[in-house]
Parts: sequence; structure tokens; C-alpha cells
Amino acid sequence: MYSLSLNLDRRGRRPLLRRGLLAILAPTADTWQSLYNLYWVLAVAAGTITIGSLVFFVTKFRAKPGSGPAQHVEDGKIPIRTVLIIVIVMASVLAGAGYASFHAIGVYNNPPNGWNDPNALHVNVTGQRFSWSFNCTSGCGVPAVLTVPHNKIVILNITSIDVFHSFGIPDLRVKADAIPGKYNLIWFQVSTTGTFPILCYELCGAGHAFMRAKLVVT
Amino acid sequence: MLRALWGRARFHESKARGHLGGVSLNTGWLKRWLFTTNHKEVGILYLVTSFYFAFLAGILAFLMRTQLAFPSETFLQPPQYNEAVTMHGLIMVLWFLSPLGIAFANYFVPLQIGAADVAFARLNATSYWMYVFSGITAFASFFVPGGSPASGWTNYSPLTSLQFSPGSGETLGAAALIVLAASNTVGTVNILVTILWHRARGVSFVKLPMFTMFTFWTMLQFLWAFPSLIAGLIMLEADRLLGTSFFTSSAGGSILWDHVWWFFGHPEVYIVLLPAFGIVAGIIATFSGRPVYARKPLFAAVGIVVLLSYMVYGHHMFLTGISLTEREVFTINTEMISIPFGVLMLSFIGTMYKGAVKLTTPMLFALGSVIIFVIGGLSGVFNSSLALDIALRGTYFVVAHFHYVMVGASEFGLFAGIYYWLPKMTGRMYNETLGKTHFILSFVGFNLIFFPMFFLEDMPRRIVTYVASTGWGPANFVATVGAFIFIPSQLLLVYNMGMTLRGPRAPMNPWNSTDREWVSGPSMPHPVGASSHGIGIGLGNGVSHATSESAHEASPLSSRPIILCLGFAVSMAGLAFGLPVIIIGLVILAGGVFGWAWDDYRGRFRLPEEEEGERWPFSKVPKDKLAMWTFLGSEAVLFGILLGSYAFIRVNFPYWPTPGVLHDINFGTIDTLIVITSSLTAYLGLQSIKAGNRRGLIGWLGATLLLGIISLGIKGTEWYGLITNLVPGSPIGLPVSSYLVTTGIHGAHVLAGLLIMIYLMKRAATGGFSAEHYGSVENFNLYWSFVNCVWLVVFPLFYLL
Repeated sequence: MYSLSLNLDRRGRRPLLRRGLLAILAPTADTWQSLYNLYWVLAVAAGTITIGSLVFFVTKFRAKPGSGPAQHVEDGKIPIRTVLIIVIVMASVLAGAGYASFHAIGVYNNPPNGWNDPNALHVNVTGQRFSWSFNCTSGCGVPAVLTVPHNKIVILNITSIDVFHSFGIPDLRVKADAIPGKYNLIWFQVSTTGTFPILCYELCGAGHAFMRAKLVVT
Repeated sequence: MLRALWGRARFHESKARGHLGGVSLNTGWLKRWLFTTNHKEVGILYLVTSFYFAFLAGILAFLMRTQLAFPSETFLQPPQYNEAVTMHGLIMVLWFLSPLGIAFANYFVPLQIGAADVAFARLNATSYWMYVFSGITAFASFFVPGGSPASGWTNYSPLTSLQFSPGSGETLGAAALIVLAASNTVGTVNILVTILWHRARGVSFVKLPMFTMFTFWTMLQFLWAFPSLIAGLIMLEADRLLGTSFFTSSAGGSILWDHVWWFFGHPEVYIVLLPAFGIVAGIIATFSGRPVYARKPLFAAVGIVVLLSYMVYGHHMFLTGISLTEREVFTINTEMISIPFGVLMLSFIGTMYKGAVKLTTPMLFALGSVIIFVIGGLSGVFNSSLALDIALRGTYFVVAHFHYVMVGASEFGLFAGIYYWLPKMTGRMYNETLGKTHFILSFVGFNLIFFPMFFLEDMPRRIVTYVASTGWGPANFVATVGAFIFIPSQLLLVYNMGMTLRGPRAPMNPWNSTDREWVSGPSMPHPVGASSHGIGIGLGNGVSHATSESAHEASPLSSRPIILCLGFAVSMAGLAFGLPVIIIGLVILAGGVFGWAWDDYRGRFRLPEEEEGERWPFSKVPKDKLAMWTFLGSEAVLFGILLGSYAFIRVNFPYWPTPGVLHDINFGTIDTLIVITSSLTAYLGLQSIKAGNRRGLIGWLGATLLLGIISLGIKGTEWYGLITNLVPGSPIGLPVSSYLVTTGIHGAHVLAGLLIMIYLMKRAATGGFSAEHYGSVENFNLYWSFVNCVWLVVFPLFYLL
């Protein structure tokens, strides 16, 4: 049991921009990260074009000192072609992004051998103010620590017994809301050993910040 | 500051005195501001009050950023932090940003469309005072046992339930929100009718100035989003006070609250954004010296945003376990909503093409708003993805995203409006250097706070502290440095606004704008009387009818709105403080309502008739009737949400009793027949007065009143039966909960109808109606038919199914 080297830098802190450099460690994390990178590329491109043209127009069409008031002349024409181009370009880019998202959600929704995989490790996760408890037939370890073997498919069945929580393992990019009376399923599979924090992502009261647990992959 | 502004308003004073019968000079300014019904004065009140709330919520932000500056700080305790985080969000969104938009709507919509005032002057004051008292109520919740609401601005259930939030603070906070939502509904009806019905000749719908156009669409959102909030809060209060189980049972619970809250909450995001963008569009056009580019597509794009805004809220619920299909639909809808925003950006940027761009303070803020929106909007596309949301949900990435949209885009746009219109509102010029300094500090500070948060995409929101090993320290430190620049620099704006009152006189139209408001003289005119009749060049096509100044003098004072609102707020606060307070509140409320009706009855509050202008497409509809239809539009959503909640619970609750077990079908059928008959008698009353038959009207109204009382009596019997069968101390089951709340709200509407009927009968008896004058009777008929129609839906749902 050791800390994943990529997860922590030499002084035990996690570097700020670690995300983009993450090695493949779980199918969910891999899928999510490629999608995230794709969105960043598209967003930076779109942002550069938009803000760039704004800045360009401001510099190019800056009023000359001493020039009189400009003329408002409304020609009444609708620049239908420009608008259509914008709409079509945006729609196609968004369609691509949406397609990639739908593809990615397929990974999240489909564990390799289905949700009832007899070989998977099935764990019942219960949120209560302010801790997580784990329950499985083979025994998953002590409270607040979920211990699973590496390369094993793990299927979590998440609920809450009091208020709305949200169960997340940020390093694996998996998360599901823990809601009283509802059961939400997530799955993951970690290819390496290590320790990963488990956090609560929905305000649940005074102890929300301290509602932490650990995932130990052996 | 108010006093100083009054000094400039001195010229209305003689008028004010005439109405109050010799008010002494020392208290005159106070009465003027307390009792004003003038749209400009109400606008200024809204503006100043919203700044006050921004100051309070800004302090909370300051406290939070201080707490988070370093790992493992203990400056704030967790309960305090949760209160700060909750109230910061609620106050900033609901008591600062949207009211600031409303302030401008009040002030400038009538000027931009050439109306003398808003459609209903007293309702305008009413919406303002409800807003004030709701804010005070919300803030009072800090000082009651248990402290203020502390469940986040989203109030996720069941954390808000009595079990997990035992103090009276949550009850008080929810009561404050109800009052605020009522305020917004009243204000919305008013401004919508103003835009639809009070446009001057030549101001056709497509020629509306940008700000008015955006306000129009925003008001439609107000109208249909806030009823959902009201419905949710009523169910929440019923859970907390009466022991119903909407949000504590698993059949309703968290998911029901999510639906109800976000159906309101997501459109609310556009509610705070669109007025700001209206201002931005106008400012960019003015300071580029060009007409707005692609005006008609822009108009359509905003409409599409409004329509889609009701269909995207599910992206807040991606991880709650809603079905894959739902998630996919919400992903597509959310992506789609960015397309009209693309058209907006095209229009804003395209307006500068071949223009002469002048970088004054308003223009800088407007461009800052656009730049920040681009970043905020693009980050929103990340959140629209059902897959990316898995890691991003509940993290600081989301915090960064919505602050970029709400603080950046929205607040910067509204600040642009302040600088832009200060010369108009005060007749004086602000200090340009201070303004530009304010912009630079704000822009740099803002980006320092929120840009690092995009890289905290694993840090949970609303945590009071974190340990150093998480690696979140540096980004948080930078954010706090940004906050220490951004928040204090807002004092520059306040200082600049204050100094403007003593600044150099502004020219009539300092920006060479072609928008109508600039050609009708400053609001607080120079005593010499800078009247500007006939200048009206608005919209560049020689429009006449510039009546705003003369009518400004005419709007009389009324003490009724403030009394009515005080009573309403006190009675709602009584939900937290107990029955005596409710009763005191209701007495004050009754005083206000009675006084209001009395003024009407005596014809005391009269506004001058306006020349008829553009009323398309409602030129044939009387103003009051249009207002009633608008109001009923919002009521329809209220009942729609209540009945939708019923359906949601019904589907999810396996033990619903079969028809006839809980409610006696025969009883209900008789009641329904009475309800139908009462619609008929009310209609016959209307037909009588249309034929000039006053006695007929009184008789038929009396019959309607009687039927209404009988119907309420039948329901009362049923309620009594249900309530006596309850087990004391245990939660009320879902079927009874949902019946009591739905029919309870319906019953309250019936009761209001009965009171209106008594007033109408009294007025009819003294000759208040005739064959030509029967508007109130007709509006009452609309209302009554609506209430009865609701019953016709309630009856089969609860009794027969």
C-alpha cells in the first residue's frame, strides 16, 4: 500500500495541473479525461476566436480622437447568412461534443460484464451524516475505508439514510448522488494499487467538509 | 444619499404636499420616499436597496474567502460557514442581481417606450416594499435560534426538514422567499403590461430598445419560474409546520425538491443575466455609433433562450439517478441553448464592425461583461455534458462557471448600466477616472478569484476547510487575493455614485444615444425646468408623444402599499414566530388592503389617462384584463407545479388508497356541481351589468358568494374529518399531505374571491358599475372561472383516480 507517485508530488502535495497529465489508471478516469481534454480544446478555440475578434474590433474600430459622433444608420437588412453560419457551425461542433459525451456515458453505464456480474465485487455504500460506510459479503474493511483488489471490477450501490449526499472518488472520475430511498449504481476498476480519497460533494450539514473516506486498492 | 436625491426632486414637492395635506418640510422627503408610486423613484429605491443587500452578501463572501485562504483555517466554524455560504448565494441572486435589473426596468422601460409611468403605479410600490420586507425577514433569520438557512442556496431537502434544521431560521428564510417571490410576481405583471400596453405611437414591438426588449423576455421568465418556487416553499413550510411529508418521504423527497427547485432555479440564472445583456447591447451600440447588428435575429435568439430555459434544468440532476434518456435530452437541450447565445455574441461583437468605438467606463464594463460571459458560457458547455458532469458536479469548477456568468457577465453588465445612466438619473456626470479604475480593479480581481477555481475541479463546494495535502491551497490563496481586490474596489462605485450628485452638470444626451430615454430630460431635472416636450426623436423616425416629464409630476403618493406589504411580511414571518405574530400581520395587511380598496371606492387614487399608443397585439384588451390574464398565467404555473408534485408522488408512492377510501366521492361531486354553478351565476352577474342591470349584478354576485361559502364549508368538513383522523405527532401521510396543501391553496384562492365579491357588491350598490364600466366584474369573472377550473382538475385527480 503506497501512494501513487503521479498522485502526489515529492512534498506530498498534489500539483495544481496534475489532471491533464494523469496516467491511465481506470477506464472511467481515462474516458473522462479524454473527453475533458476534447472539451478544453474546443472551448479554448471558441474562446480565442470570440474574445480575439472582440479585441480586434475594439482596436481596429477605435474612434479617432476629435472625430464627431458616428452615424446610426439602420439599413434594416437581416444578416441572415452570417447568423446561419454561426448557428450551423455551433450546432455541428456541439453535435460532435455531444456525440463524444454520449459515447463516454456508455462506458459509465456499462460495466464490462454487466451490472449483475457475479465476478465483480458488489459493495453497498451508505452515506450518513458525516461518514460513509461500506458493506459487502466478502468484507471490505473497516468503516470509512473501502478496500478492493486492483484490476477487480467494483460495483457500488449507493444510498443515504438521512440527507442528500453525493459520493465521489475524484481520482477515478466516478460520482453518484446518495439520496434517501434511492439506490444509484456506479462501477470502477483500478489497474494499479494506491490510496484515493472519497469525498462528499453535496452540502449535508456542519460536518460536510469532514465526510471523507478512503479507497484502498491492494 | 436618498436625502440628497430628494433635494433634486424638490420640484415634485408641491404636488406631494397637495396630496398629504400639508406635510412639514422636514419629514416631507421621508414621506415622499415611503409613499411614492412614481416609477423613477421606485427604481431608485430598488437600486439603493439592492446595493445594500449586495453589501451584506459581499461581507459574507469576504468572510468565506478569508476562511478558505489557507488550509486548515478556523476563522469560521462549520455552522457559521454554512450560513454564510447559503445566505451569500440567496441574497446575491435574489436580493441583489435580479432586483438591480428590476430597478433599471422600473426606471427606464417607461422612458424607453415613451410611457408616462408603469401600468400600475401602486402595484409598483407594492412589489418594492415586499422586496424590502422580504430582505429584512431573510436577514432576521441570522438572529433567531438555530441561525439562518444553512443548506446552500438550493435548499436541498431533506436537509431543510425539521429533523435536520430544527431552528426557526429555515422557516423564516423560506417565509422571506415566499414574500420575495410574491413581490416578483406583482412586479412582473406590472412591467409586462407596461411593455405590452403603454408603448407610445411609433414604438412597435420590433423597434423596442434593447434593454426593454431583454426586460420583456426576462419578465416572461419571472412570470413562469417564480410560481414554482412559491409552490415548493409552501410544501416545505407545510412539512416544517404542519407535519406533512412532501420532502421527508422517499416517494417525494429529494428528487421532488430538485425538480421543483430547478424548474425555478435554472431560469433564474437567465433572469439575472438577460437584463444585463439588454444594457450591454444598448451600450455597445451607443459607444460604437452603430445600430445593433442583427437586431431581429437577436430578438428571436433571446426568445429561444427563454423557451429553452425551462427545458434544461435537468442538467442539475444528472447524478440523482434520473433515466439515461432524460439525461441525454437535457444534455442536448443544454447544448442547444448555447446556440442563441452564440447569436447574441455575434450581435454584440458585430455591432462594433466599422464603428467608432469609444472606451468609456460603461463601454469597458459592457465589453468586460461580454468577455467574461464567453468564458463562463464555454465552461457551461462542460457542465452540459452528462459524462463530464460526473466529475464536475458539486465542485469548484461549477462555482467558477456560475460566478463567471452571474457575477462577471451579469453584474458587470448591470454596473455598465449604472455608469451609463447615472447622468440620466442624477443630471450630473460621474468621475471617469474613478470609473475606469473601478473597472480595472474589478476585472483583474474578478478573474483572480474565479479563474483558478476552474483548476479545483475535484474540490467539493461548500466545504468549510481543507487540508494542505489536497493541493487546493495555492488556487484558493490566489482566489482570496482576488477577493481582497475585487470586493473593496466596489466601494469605488458607491463613492463615485455619491460624488456624482455633486459632480458637473451632464448634458442632456452625453453619449449621443438615439434611445428614447435620453431625449426626455433627466429624471431629477434642474429646477429651471428642462422640459423637453416635442424633442422626441426616439428611434430615429420622428416619434411624437414625449409625455414622461409632465406625467412624472402627476403620480400621487399612497401609504397603502407599504402598510400592505408590512402586514404581509409580518404575517409570513409569523410562520416562524407563532400565531400572535401572524394575527398582528394579518391585521396590518387587512388595514392596507382595506385602505387600498377604500381609495379605489372613493376614486382617490387616479392617474391621468394616457394617449393611446402601440398596443399590438392587445389593442382590443383593456389594461386590467391584460394584467389579470398575465397574473393567471403565473397562477396556472403555481397550480401546475402543485398538481405535478401530486402526480410525482402518486407515481412513486405504492400505497395510495383506492378512490372513495380517503375522500367521499358523493361529497366531492356535490361540491363540484356547486363550483360549476357558481361560475354560471358569476357569469350571469357580468351579463346583467353589461345590460345595465345593477340589481341583477348584486343578486347574482350574492348567489355566487353564497355558493362559494357552501363550497368552502363542504371542503372544511372534509378537512376537519381528515385532520381529526390524524395521529398526533407522527408525519402526515402523502395522500393526505398532498390533498391538504393543494385544496388548501385552492381554498385560499376561493376565500380571496369571496372577499373580492363583497367589495364588488358594495361598489355595485353605490353605483360603481354601469353598462359601460364593468371591468372589475369582468376581471373577477376571469379569476373566478380560473379558480373553478382548477377545481375541475383537482376533483378527478384526488377523488376519482
